[in-house]
Amino acid sequence: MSSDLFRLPGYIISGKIKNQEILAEDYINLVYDRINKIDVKINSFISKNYEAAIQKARKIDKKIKNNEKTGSMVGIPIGIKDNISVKGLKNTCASKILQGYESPYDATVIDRLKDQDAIIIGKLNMDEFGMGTTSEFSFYGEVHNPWNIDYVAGGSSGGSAAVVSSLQVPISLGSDTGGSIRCPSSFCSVIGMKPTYGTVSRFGLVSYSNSLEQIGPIAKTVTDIVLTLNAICGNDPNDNTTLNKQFEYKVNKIDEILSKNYNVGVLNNLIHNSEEQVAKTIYDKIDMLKENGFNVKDTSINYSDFALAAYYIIATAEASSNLSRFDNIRYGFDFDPEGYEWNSYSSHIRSNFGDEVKRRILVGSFVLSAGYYGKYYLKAQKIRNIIKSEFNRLFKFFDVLVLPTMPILPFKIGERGSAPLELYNLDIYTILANLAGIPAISIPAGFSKEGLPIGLQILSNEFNEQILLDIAIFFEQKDKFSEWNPVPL
Amino acid sequence: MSDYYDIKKLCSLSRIEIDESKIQQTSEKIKEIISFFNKLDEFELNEKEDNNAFENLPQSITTFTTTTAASSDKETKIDNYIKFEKKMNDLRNDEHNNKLTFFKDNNTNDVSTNNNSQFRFKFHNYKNGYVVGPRI
Repeated sequence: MSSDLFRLPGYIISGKIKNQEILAEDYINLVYDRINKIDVKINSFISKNYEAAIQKARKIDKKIKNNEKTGSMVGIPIGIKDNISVKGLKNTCASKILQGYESPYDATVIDRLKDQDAIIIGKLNMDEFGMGTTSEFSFYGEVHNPWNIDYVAGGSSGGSAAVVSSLQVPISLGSDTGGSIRCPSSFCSVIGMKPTYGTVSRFGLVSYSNSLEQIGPIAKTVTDIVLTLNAICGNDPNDNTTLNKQFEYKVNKIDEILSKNYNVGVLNNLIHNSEEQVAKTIYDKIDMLKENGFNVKDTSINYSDFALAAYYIIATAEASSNLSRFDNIRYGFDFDPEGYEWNSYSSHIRSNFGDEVKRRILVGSFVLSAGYYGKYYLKAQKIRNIIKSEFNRLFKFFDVLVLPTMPILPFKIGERGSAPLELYNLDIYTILANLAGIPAISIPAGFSKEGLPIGLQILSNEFNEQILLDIAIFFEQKDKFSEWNPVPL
Repeated sequence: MSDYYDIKKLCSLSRIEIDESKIQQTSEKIKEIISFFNKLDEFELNEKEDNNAFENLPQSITTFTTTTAASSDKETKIDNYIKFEKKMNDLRNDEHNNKLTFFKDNNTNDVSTNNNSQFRFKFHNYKNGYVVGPRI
């Protein structure tokens, strides 16, 4: 068996396993060899699932040998962000407070992936509870960017993006509360998608800010994104926010895409505020769209200046409420309560949250406290409504909006960790989709002079994921970005 | 806010301990974040217009009826073509029912309330008699 199989996307591997060109078991062994060799440099895994993965691979081989029906993702190895519950695996959210906690059930997305015969490879590193933009705030150490291991991988789904970018697994799942899928996808030069709020079940996702977050796929090819989305989306009785709607996404042909005459809005006011190399790369992509007959026009979004503050008020308020459940009674590690009364025991245990998580809980408690509710939370919700109206206005004229995923290039590990606001400001382009609940995708757009990845972000109206995928397919075919791999690896 | 005692109070409210040595640093960072949130003060919304939006809707498209339910809550009927949202302040007028008690059916693991048998909560994940796992 060729040792270069790890370079192939998931859908091709699946085809080879189905056609009995390769055995799922051999392929999974190859994947773990690759992980053991590469991940010492990247630190993308928190826990691995070797025994169960091999068992599942053997079952798949047996099914195929017996001509039994198999799922659409047969034999594809998938990495899972460590805040999504997988039965029998540790679910730490990269936090000390959940060290050793093992999930007793599968999240709905995991159930659905297993139904399609995908193989869960392990749990991936992240910012603690999804709170961060760099994947440096993890109890298990920071994630390194495969394009330059001295640089951050982005966050909070840094492990999910880095593991795909470094060709350890073809597909991973992340969660996106304010750009947590798109930011690391941009920094690691892979595709990351946040679906419309309500498209994918959040049952089994450890909540940080439930009105903003969604689970989504990360991969190197659009076909793998489509395959995963089709597997995980749809109504779930366990999550009342999922919509009772049928979803089916396709990989359309380029001629069909070009014939649709999509109207593209360029969010100029935001692009101008990016770093020079980022803005230039994005304008090059916009020129490509123009040259290929897309209707491209400049536009701008109002009130975006207030969006970031509104986002962080809502996110911290919800975090302070959601994280109140971590009291070491229902979850957590062994700690003798002898000598403590209840409140001091609880406070002492909760001091095991990392500094950033503690800060957000405190800020959340403050903005929700009596006397400040109207000043912060109420106003933030009003701004959220206005941002949504702004998008409704823009999507009357445009099918998609384009802007950079991140305003800056990836930076060195430890360079920006000390000032929270400096990091919060980096989310300015990604939080808009979360506030409005609309879908967004980040695709590789190019590289800086230093060889650091730059991502293009595309937004569309709710439930118009197919248009995002169409534009991504256009760039995939023109740029061949799926073949861009980090050289040292 | 954000002097030493305010942070201590906030910690106690949030059930979080912070090392004495880190209080000053935490206080400064929180102060910085709150100052950033104060940017919303620049956002001038016509509050009066916003508050009157509910009352100003034409009678032809919005009607109010008083139900006979025990709660005596107002019920709002709206024509299909108009999207109507509750005022933000009205979202927080729920009252906790202290008298509500729960009974567990040992056979089905379902939980029901004493005063309304229509309420049934089905929990999926039990371990040693407790509901386990992070819930959304």
